[in-house]
Amino acid sequence: MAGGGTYRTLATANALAEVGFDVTVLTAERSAFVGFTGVDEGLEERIDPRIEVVRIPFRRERSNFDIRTWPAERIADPNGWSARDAQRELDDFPESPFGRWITPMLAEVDRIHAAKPVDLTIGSANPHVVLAAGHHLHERHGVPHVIDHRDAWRLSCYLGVEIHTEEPRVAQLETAYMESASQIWFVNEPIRAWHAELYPQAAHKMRVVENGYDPEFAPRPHPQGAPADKPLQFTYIGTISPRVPMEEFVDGWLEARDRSADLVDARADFFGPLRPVPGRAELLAEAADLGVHHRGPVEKSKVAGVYDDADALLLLLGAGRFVTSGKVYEYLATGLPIVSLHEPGNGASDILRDYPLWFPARDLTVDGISEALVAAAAAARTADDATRAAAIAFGEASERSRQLEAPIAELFALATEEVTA
Amino acid sequence: MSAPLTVLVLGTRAYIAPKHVRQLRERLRLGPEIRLQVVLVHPPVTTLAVDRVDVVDLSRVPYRPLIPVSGPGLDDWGGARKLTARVLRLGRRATEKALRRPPTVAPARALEIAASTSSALLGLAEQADAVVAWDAKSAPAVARLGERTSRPALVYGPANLRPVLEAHGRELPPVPAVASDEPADTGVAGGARLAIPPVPAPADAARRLLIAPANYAGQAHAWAEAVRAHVPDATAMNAQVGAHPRFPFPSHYVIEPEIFRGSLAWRRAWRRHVMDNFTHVIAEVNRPLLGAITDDGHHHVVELQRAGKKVALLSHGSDARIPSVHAANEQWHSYAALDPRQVEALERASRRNSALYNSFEGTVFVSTPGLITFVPKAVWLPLVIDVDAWDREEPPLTGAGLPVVAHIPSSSQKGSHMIDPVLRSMHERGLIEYRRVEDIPHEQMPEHYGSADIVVEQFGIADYSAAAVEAMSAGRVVVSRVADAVRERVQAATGHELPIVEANPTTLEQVILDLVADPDRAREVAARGRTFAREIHDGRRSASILQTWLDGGLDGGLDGDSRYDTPAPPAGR
Repeated sequence: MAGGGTYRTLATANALAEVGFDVTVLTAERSAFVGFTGVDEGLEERIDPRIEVVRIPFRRERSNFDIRTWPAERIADPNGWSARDAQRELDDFPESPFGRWITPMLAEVDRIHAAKPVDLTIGSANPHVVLAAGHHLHERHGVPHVIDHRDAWRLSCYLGVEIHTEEPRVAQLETAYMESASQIWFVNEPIRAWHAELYPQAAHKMRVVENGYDPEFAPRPHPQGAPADKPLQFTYIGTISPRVPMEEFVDGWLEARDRSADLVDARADFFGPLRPVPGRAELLAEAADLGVHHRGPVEKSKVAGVYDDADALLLLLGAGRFVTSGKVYEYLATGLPIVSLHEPGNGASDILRDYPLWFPARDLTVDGISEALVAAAAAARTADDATRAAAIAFGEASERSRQLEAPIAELFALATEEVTA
Repeated sequence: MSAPLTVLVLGTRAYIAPKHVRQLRERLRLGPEIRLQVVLVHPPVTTLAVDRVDVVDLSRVPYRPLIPVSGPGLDDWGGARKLTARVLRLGRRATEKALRRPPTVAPARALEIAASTSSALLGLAEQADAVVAWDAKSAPAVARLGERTSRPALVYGPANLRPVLEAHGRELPPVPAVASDEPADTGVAGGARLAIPPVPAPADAARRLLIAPANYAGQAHAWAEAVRAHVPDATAMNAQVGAHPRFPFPSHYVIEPEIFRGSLAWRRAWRRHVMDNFTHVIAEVNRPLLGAITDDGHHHVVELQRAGKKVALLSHGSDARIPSVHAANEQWHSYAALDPRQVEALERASRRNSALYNSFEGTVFVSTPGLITFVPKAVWLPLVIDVDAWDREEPPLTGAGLPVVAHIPSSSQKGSHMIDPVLRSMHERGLIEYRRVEDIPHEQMPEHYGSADIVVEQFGIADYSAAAVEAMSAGRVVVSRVADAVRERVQAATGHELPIVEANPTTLEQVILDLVADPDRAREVAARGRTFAREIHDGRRSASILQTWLDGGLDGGLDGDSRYDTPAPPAGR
């Protein structure tokens, strides 16, 4: 319902329906997402009408902070009660806060299969509890299942280290899922390679299914450079999470303004929710005098217009070679100069490496960032038509349906093979 | 226009300062227009920016219920439970009277009793739109008020008020921009712009050293002072982000965290100041020092180097001590007593930091010799204390009463959970007088140390830190667990045996009994400790090491053996 994975799941389900699958989507009640992940109701309208959506409850009692509804033992010891409740939840399935979903989810999976036998299950994690559904049908009824792992369960993509080592069931369960799955998808090669090393017995089933941009939300390409008589417009679109190196950017922006006449009156607009980070809002408030503005979230329907106004795009990402971002693909569709402000080893670098208008900061120092901004500012004005055309062509290859073509064909073969067998 | 929301907040914390109220308002996310009232158990230290403050008067709480209340209210107690409670209460009162102790009651219980019985508090609740439990311990009191009035919403945690009121269908003021998901019309503006604190005036010397940003245990300040005192044509200062609110250590320049994170003007001024005025920088614990950034401090180190500064790194302890390695080496580590998530975070950070320290092309200092295990290329820069301030003439174990044994539970990694039970048990058996030194301002510590015979420093880190040096300087017998490798390093680097009596949780009691039984030996160890502290930790030795670095030496030392002769004391000392 929200978050980058939503578009991927929606596109996958629609693509499956398009090629002739009878698709059922099992998810949580709408209310479970409100105030949790957030909701983009417009996306529901894009679900292929042939798809049946089944919703079951998902309650998060620990997130209920209305004391009038609390049991006495929680009132007496809120922290102790929460700890005990979390432990009970983990007893069901080692994933907080989703552990309790396994019981109603599997019951519903059984009901769906009994009503209309399932030929193929795709579990789109996270939450990782959903992977239990495909494994369950595989164990009980031999139904093939695919794991769309997107990111990872045992790997922290930001920290680049194994996590959940204190909970052996995570490894046990994931091993079982990996071994029983027919295919395992990841969003980028570093994450795939990490898992291939961890599960050599399943490595042959793993593949990268990159994200892509969705054409209905895609920005229009920019075949021309920025006009010389207007200040340059740098644009960032996306959640400004605590890991986004905003402070580094502001330092680099100030330096870049001193280094390039193109940047003296330039603006850097940040569109997207600003997650609370102490001091960040204050810093941005001061930076407004220097052309840096937070514009708040932008409705999906207005995103294309924001891209239309941009002369160059800012890609600020948290550290981690396993991290990519869905917005990279959307950025690519514009054909605009892209300033990469993230660690050079970030997974996004692999996607952007051959993009003709890519300006990566060599590091996140003031020098590194300001050099990239200055170079992108120059390119925004002076890149020739051939370079822009090459950039646009590069971006077209990142359209989601193109990324999904081969995997969906394989799924079709997989399901029909099993049915035939 | 509708009336402003009235929010009544109940809290049990002992220390409430203006910054806590600022945080409270931020978490409420209701803007400045609400009517905010707080009820506390302890009087606030200063005036708070709220509409009303009430304090529960502990001395007037009628009695101390000993049986947890699970019914609808105190007044409904009855039968055997009530009788038992009365008997116990009378007994306790008699004891308190006999011992001339003031009646005591736990703050959370006092607040709960007030919420159950006070008509004034009920009146406030009835006029409020919401009653909020500021902390976990105040939740029962909030629930008690809820039993007496159905009007206000009852919410656990200030950050949860808004969603609960929204779920109740309340119309709320817009979320302030600082945590807003709403579009901003004209830039983001999050709160008032922060005033720029003045940056220190530039000093006049050929070599100008900055040490920042940690100043743990006041050591950056002490090293800088040592340079000022003992290194010719050099000056130094420390800068520290955030000071301990109650027990600050000396520091040349303190930057409030809010400024460090949120003031662009300060950031620009400070960066310019650092770039223009310092020739040398020691970057502590791999944290940012030119203003907050999302990453660790290494980017700033790179920038300083590119600007031509000579930069050294410095580790203070847990930033480089890798838990898994330390636990494998040290039987008496204390990681098992810590939250596993904390240990995991320490493991990640220390691995990242130690890898950085070990690959750094320049000098890396460590503040204690045990850290060389994790940073083999590092140079030990001894801790510095004001030996004169700590000095005590009277030798230990000369008093008539029980031997006094002190312990400061300063860090969760220093194994107080292994020390406390032993010393408490000895205390209860009348073998020693145990003093657990807590919440004492640092400047009062010499007096507290001076009144002890024996100071037990730590089990856990197998190293020796500032508390041990201070106790040695005060002429006390220091008992602690120090790894053999650390003792060997100290001996090799200084020529002195480390005068700390070895103990571990299984030997601690016997070690103390042996010291008490042989006071001559104890006094001899204490005297050696006093000399050792003066020789190694009075600043001259550290200044000498820093002078070598300022002169261009030390870079890339690989053997970890920093053997330097301590210069002679200055004249008149």
